[in-house]
Amino acid sequence: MDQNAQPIPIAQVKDLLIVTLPPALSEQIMADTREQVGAWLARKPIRAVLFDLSAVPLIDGGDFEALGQLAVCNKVLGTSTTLIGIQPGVAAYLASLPMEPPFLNFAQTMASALRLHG
Amino acid sequence: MTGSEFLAGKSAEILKTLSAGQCLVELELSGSIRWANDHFTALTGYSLDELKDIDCWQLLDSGHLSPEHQETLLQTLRDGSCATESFRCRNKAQAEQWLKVLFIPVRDDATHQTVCLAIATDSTARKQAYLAMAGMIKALERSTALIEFDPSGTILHCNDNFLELMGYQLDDVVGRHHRIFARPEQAASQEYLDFWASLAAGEIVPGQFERLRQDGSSVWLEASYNPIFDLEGNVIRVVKFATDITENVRVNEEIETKAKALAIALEQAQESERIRDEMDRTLQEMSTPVTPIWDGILLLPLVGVVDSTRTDDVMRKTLNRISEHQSKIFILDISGVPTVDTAVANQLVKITKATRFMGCETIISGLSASIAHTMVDLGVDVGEVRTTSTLRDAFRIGLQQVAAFNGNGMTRREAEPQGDSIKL
Repeated sequence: MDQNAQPIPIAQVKDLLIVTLPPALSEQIMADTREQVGAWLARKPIRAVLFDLSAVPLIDGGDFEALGQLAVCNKVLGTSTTLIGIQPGVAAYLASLPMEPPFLNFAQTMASALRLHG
Repeated sequence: MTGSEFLAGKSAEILKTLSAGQCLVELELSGSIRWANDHFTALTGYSLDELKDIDCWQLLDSGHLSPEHQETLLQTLRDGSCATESFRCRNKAQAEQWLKVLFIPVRDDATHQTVCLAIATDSTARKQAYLAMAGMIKALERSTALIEFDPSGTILHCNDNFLELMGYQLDDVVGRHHRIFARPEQAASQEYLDFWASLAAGEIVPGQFERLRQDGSSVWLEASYNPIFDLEGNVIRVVKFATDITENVRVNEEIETKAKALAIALEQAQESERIRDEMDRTLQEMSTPVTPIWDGILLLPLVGVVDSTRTDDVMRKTLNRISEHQSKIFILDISGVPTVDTAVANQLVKITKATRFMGCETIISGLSASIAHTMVDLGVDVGEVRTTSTLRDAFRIGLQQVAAFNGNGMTRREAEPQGDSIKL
């Protein structure tokens, strides 16, 4: 792992991986997240990765695209990806972008997401 | 020895002393110059040779002293009396020069002739200052209303401007008290007594004053009451300079009244705007009634004309309601919408996308065939927008989705990923 990498809070619940993203996203954070999630998936059998975005007030096009690419990688590794807690203003902004990354599921709360994945 | 005998004996010495400090000229009683000292030649710029035997009146500014006046003056001297006169002269450089001259007739006992000793003083600076001051006072008198009082307020004099302004004749006011210009209640007030006490004490009182004309009408004056002092510092008169500002005061009052009316109108307009805004908000609330109709299901029946402003409002309120109620299904019923344009259709697709990002599926119900054709003709990218022809169908699907979610936790995508989606 890169020595300068930011530690991203990641927890495993059964075969689910819960990743809590910090309020201020950046390219570095997204790269670190991808690397750390990849390391988990390589070590453990994970059915779904849940990204908790409830503390993130702003997600720009670049962040959303990075999450979409991560979802594609996860799909290749046989894992689904769910984004949790996107706020109304962020949802309205993302809907205005000319992109809709595939292989992304969405849930409003962690409880919904956990129920979603059984 | 008497005093006069003593001075007679000292006449040569007195003359010498005078000549050392004063401008002296010796004249014939005809006005011809016989001699002038150095001070006089220096003052006028002429040499003694140039002055000698010329008529002294040639030094005067042309037309300053009439021949009759000149003759009267000389006759006074011939009669053995002294005379004092101020003259406006021209020096050799033709500059204006004011000379105050004391003429003293002196009898020459040897020749039995009388000559005249003239002692001249240069009063040019003083005269010019006096003329400037006099001009200023005349200008003030011409342009302003002026009235003079004694220190107790009794009128001594006033100019024509003041009489015209106040509607009086001079005889009507001279000798009367200033209170004839004041309202009776004002004249009886302590403030009025204090006002005159201040002036009598030497204070200048400037300000805007309301006074009464002879006909009882009101006049506003911008005025200053100025005490005039004697040499010992006692107030001997009070001079008031006044300008009529009645029209200005009237205009100011009118402006003030209009400003107040404007402020009231503005306040009313702001209140109307506030009520209108409130009504707009209420109307907006009514036009986008996003309502939870089942646990996890929101319904918005849209009726009437839909424009992009309204769809923006739908987006905002729907997303907030989804967040509040944690809804899983949002049914957007557009059976009451006659038609949609490209912008509105695209906005509806965006609403669907945005709700999905919040974990809530949108079902658009009541889509008429004409609207579907319009959307296809306009090339709207509807993606995976789930649609039903009736609200009943949408509600049924919504219930199934919620039941499926609550039952086995499967999302629409996972439970029935493509089946009910219509790709237009």
